[in-house]
Amino acid sequence: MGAWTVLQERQAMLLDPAIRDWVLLPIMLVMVLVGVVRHQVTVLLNGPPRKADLKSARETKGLQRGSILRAHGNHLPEYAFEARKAYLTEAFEKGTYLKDPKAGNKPKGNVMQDPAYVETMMDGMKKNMMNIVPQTVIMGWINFFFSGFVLIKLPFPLTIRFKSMLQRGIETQDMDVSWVSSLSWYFLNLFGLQSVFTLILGSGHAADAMRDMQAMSTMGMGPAAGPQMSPTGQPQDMHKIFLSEKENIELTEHEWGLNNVETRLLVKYGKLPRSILVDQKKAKAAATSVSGPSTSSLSSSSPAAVAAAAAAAGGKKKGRRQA
Amino acid sequence: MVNAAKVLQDLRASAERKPDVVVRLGKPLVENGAVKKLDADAWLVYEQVAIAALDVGDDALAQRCIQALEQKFPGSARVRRLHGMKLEAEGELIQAGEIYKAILQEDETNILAAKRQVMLLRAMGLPSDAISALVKYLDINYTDFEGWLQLADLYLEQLMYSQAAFCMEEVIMLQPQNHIFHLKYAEILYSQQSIGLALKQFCRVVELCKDHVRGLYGIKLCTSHLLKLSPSKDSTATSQEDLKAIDLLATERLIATYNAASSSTKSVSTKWIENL
Amino acid sequence: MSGQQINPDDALYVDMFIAKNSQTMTFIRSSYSAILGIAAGTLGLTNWSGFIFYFTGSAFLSFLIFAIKAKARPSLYFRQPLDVFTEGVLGGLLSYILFWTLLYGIIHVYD
Repeated sequence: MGAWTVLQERQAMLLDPAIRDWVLLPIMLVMVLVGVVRHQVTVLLNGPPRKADLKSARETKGLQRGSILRAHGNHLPEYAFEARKAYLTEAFEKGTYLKDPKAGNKPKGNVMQDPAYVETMMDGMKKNMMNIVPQTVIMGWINFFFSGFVLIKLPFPLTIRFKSMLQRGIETQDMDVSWVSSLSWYFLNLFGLQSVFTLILGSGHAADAMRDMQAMSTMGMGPAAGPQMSPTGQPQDMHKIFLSEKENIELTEHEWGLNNVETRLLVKYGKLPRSILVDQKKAKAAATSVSGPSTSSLSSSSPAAVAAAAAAAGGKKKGRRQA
Repeated sequence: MVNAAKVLQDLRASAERKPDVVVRLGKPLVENGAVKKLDADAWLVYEQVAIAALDVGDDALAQRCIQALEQKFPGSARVRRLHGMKLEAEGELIQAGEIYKAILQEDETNILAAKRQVMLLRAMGLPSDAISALVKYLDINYTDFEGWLQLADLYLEQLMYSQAAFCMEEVIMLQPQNHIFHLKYAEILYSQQSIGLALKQFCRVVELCKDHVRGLYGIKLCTSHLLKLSPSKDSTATSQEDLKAIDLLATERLIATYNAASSSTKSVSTKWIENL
Repeated sequence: MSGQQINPDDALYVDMFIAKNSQTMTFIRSSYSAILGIAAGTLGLTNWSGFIFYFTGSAFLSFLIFAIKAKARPSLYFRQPLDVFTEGVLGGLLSYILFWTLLYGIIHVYD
């Protein structure tokens, strides 16, 4: 208990202003400048936008057909949806949209010779280099020049567990965890300057650490125009992707959004109370659960019919009990 | 000067076709060289004014803009497309076709050239060729809703309603929040005599855009048609009760739109609407 | 597993505008958080008072945006009306801490 109180006393230390002038501000300045430079260099390195390959574009767009149908298919009447569903499931199965229908499973040895894949890999590598190299260099620089002394006090307390991480190089036992070394100032800057960069460079700047961390975990995701690469850097088997998309489509049921549009319109203009919609939903749920195997869900929309259906559902239940 | 640039920029962003405004604002900019002060935007303005000038018929202005662009970007496919458009405007359709073909040979994914080629075929009076070219284009560029819209128009010209309906369905899936597309779809359905379906679509239009007059008229036409028929046994069809309620609502909203008109107009329109 | 229930109001949100609004919110919040951080550091706030300062200031900003910019109808501008209050707060917190630490250090820790 006593030791704890000692630590809690506000440790009033004053630091040499030279530290502020020669370490605190320079580190921050360097990080800002490096971020800006990195952004410009990335823009330069990327060069003119790569010419899109016709077949690749068709492949990706073909895949999108499936997702768009699933996302917005409920705006279409049933026959339109079913027709597209049937067509797409067949097309994905047969591989109509594949870039190279006869490819099958390409033996991995040939990957390096395919120029398109090499390009995508180079792109991914370039991006990673631009992210990792500056970080490593700055960290090394800080560790070399600015270690072994206390840099700044954090205005908020932290637990003891952070002591070893934040005070690396300063081996004391009693000092507040809030007094931290230069390396932790570096990390603080790394995270805090994200929004500053967004302010200066506009969104989509190349110095985004969040994207760095994502990039480190999933390597080599090229832009949509190029051939797709899986996280491990192998060329993805598009056929498998199409097949999984096909299954997704097959599983999608059509729920026509315009089933009760008249009622919704009447409610919108205040001709009918909003509770009608709730009643309709309840009746529909009841009807589908009772009618079980018969797949056609209740689609009638008028309130009178809904009430009749609810009564019928109740009647059905009764019939079962009696029988 | 600054205001003109801002207006032109807004028009570029909204992709509205207002050639008279663009030429009126852009012509002085181009002629006295003030456009160069816009730096990067200057070339976009040149392109914008060139296209608008072709729309309006001011070929000389278009030529000036194209020349300026050619000087800055020699050999660019984008500039060559503009050149092709100018030839189209002058009536030299075959030459324009050659230019587009050359561009596509170099770069088969060039969207601008592909689109111009389709419209060229239409201008040459070869609708079926235009349709097949556009279908091929859309097979590759599925997400281009303007392409689907254009295809729907081509089909409508040929009175191929079911194909046009298919195209509109694609457009709706790509842009579900736009009530104009729902409206077009509804009108095609009505022309195909699927009145029940058309009614639901018209209701959707009015739901997305309150008091949309054309949608309300559509509703009126559908309901008056359906009410004359005997009630359908189909469970998905609108019930009699709902039909009457919607009919009443549409009549009421339509009469309300003429509220601001003079009394004679009001009485005439009211009478006509009620008899629809 | 079944298709999504069509929510008639869902189609009313244009993706581009939603993204633009989100961007604007983030922009406002980051600038504001930086300034708040500078203020907190200058004032010498520590521990809890620092964090409370941030969250109060953030709530104040949300309220201002809600009342003046969103005209008290956030559902017009955002998919979830509560987004006005929560969008970008955590990102802002990081810059707040940075500037708070910086100013606090410069003024109170150094000679």
